[in-house]
Amino acid sequence: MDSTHDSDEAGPPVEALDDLDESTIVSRAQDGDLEAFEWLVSAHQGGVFRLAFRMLNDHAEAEDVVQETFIAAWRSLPGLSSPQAFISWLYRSATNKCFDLLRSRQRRPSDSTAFDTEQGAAGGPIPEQGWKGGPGGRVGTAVGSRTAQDPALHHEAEAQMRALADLLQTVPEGLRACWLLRDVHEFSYAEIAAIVQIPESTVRGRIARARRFLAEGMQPWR
Amino acid sequence: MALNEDQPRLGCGRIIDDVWASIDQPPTVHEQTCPDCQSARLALHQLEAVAGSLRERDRDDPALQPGLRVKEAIMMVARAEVRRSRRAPLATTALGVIDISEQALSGLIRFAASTLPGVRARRCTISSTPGTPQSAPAAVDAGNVRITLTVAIASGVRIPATMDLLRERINAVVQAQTSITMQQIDIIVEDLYDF
Repeated sequence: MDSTHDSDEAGPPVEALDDLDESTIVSRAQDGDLEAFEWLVSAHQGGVFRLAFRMLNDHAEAEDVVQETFIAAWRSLPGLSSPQAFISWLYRSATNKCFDLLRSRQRRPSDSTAFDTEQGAAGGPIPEQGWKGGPGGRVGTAVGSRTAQDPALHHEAEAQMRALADLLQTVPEGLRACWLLRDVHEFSYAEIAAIVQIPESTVRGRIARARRFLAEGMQPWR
Repeated sequence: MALNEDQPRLGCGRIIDDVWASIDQPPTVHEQTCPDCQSARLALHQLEAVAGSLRERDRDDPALQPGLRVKEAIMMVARAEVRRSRRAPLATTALGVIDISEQALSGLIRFAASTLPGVRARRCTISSTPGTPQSAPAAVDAGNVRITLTVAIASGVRIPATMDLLRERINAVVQAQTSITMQQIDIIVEDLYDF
């Protein structure tokens, strides 16, 4: 019998995934529903990429992290205890992959050592590979909507964002991950503690130190 | 305090986290006079503003998205692994066995559930032997299919009547499409959602 015709197309015509709650979509992906899994990839690949990019400052490596994270997710989904745990699982997996990559960089002496925790914290040279060498003028391509009308304001805002992004690369990686998860990805302290798997009080301390480091670097501090 | 041991402090002894927490409020009496707090507030304020701009800009920046090939590569792996999953033989013909993958069967069950308003199918476990949880034999015994389906139900839906209807619907759809008659259909309501 022709079982493939109807069964493979079952589902989508009646209910759209966009109308469902995320727990339902995760549950379906846990059972190997490709359509649900693809929805999750589309929904979260941008966030995972941006975290990895700001951690690694390298477009290609960040793409590798996205790819490996979601393939690992596909394989781990069936065993995930609850669908609500998916997001922290995803970001934990991505964060760990970033740490692994940064560690392997440190073992390769030929690479930039500005990522090295001690050197970076001491205010070492700002690594420029990936920014100047990356897609030409990428930083300037996206126009901040609110300041777009005034070229001078726009220019200043861009310069400040670039300074922050560069400075971020000199923040020790453990602090950098926590700061990104809080102030860029807007996770709660409890969620970050679950992602990074350290106590919430330590998360708070790391974020405070990262903020101080960044704020000091953005302008003279007292 | 031991809890705040690893918290960085200002020259005046305050924890930076506390300065940050009240950054959107007017300065306190202490903050109005303390030079440490004043410069910290100023610097943290600026950081917050620039971080906010960066957050919004990054989110909308098409250059800060993985390339299309990344998702393709992920889905290629997922599809290849689905094809290797368990299958249930449906019929034997002169040309060979016709079977259905466990995923396609789950998809059919989810489809059946989606035809009822107020029901969202979540996980679907298919087994052939009652009580033996997922010892994962290579094939599903089509003559002895038992499923456990977890669902989310719209609040306000009458659960007993809907469950009866859901069982009937699943049985009818699966039988019509695959000729499999389900031996057992267990349904677990694990969540409610607002309709």
